[in-house]
Amino acid sequence: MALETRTRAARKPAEFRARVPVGELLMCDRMRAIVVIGLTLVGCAYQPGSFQSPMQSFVGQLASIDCLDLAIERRPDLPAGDAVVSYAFGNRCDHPVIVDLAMADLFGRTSDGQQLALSAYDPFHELSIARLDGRAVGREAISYQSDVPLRDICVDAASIAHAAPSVWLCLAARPQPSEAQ
Amino acid sequence: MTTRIAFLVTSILATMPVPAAFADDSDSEDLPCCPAGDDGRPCYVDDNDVVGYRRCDRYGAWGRNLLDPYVFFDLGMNERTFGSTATPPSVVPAARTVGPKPPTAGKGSTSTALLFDERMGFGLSRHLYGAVDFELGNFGNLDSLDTSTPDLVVDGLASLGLRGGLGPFALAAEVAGGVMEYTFAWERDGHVDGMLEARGRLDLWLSPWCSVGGVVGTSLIAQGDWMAGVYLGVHTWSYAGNRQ
Repeated sequence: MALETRTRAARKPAEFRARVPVGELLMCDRMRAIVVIGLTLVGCAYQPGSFQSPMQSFVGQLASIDCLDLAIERRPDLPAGDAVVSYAFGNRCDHPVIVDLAMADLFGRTSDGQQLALSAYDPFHELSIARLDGRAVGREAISYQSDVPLRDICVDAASIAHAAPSVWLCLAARPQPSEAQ
Repeated sequence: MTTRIAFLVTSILATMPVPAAFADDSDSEDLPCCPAGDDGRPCYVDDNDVVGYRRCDRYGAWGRNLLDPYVFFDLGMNERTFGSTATPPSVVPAARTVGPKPPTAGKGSTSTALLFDERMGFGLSRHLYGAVDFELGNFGNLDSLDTSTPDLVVDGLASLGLRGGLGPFALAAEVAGGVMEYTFAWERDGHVDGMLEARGRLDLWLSPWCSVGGVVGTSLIAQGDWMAGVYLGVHTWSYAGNRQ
């Protein structure tokens, strides 16, 4: 995928300041910071099996693999055709666990049943094995390049936690927002 | 008059930098990522959260705290009781002849100091940690006529300890050493003493990253000196990295 397709936006501080008085803006930011810090320090420990967190949502198909609660959702494909899968995860345990989205096992299936190996779009070589802190949550969205439309994408949720046996979750294609309307 | 004010306002506005947000959109590629708090300067915000299509939030931000060493911060208050060290000497410095008179130091007399305690520590291994303490306080005695209690106390300590988990608690034992400086109301110059303490700590986890705790300690070099305190702690690793 060409990098030119990136969409970027700059804030317009002058317009923003014109609408919101500086005092209110500072108060808003301060309040937001206090709320975020407060939630982080006191109330944001992930509750095992809850698939809920004030920090993020858990949508899609759910699976619990050892210490890892996973929610995997397929989003509408990118305009260029790449499939996008979002992963939300919460650590059920008090100690760190492995989250490996770089080596996750997955394949795509076309409408005629053909299975295709998929590779993640990672132009900056960011994807890597990482550890999620005890009772913490995280999320990522990864796109997978494909020349043909994929009816399903199947992900082995257990491979994300380096666990066995395999737990395959198959995610059907979702219509583009414009098509859904 | 109105014209002059309008001219002044126009002049001031003319000297202000033009916000980059009004520049061509292509300039946004070079803008720095927006900080957590909006400081009003032009900055760039990712509008796509897919890996490879975002610039500011890099992959794995959720696990970044574990890539850094474990660090904790405690903020609290300690009360120090001096059984020997800080009892005032019976000789008045010649340089200062006004103000409260020094008391006659009696054997067995004690004094106390209430101190703010700022503490920062770091993990050396799973259970071993090091920390530095900075204590300052007893300001309440500045205007007091009580001449047997130090009116300003400041100290710094370095400590080495072992910590382990016990259900919702964390228990720790440590040895701390440092120096303390204190003055009495009737003195110009302060006293500087060495400190060496054995301490025990008990933390209750309020969340994986926040704890409230208490500490008690006794001096290993000054008989009768001891301390007790409470504090709030913030930790960069959940449960201080002690749980398996």
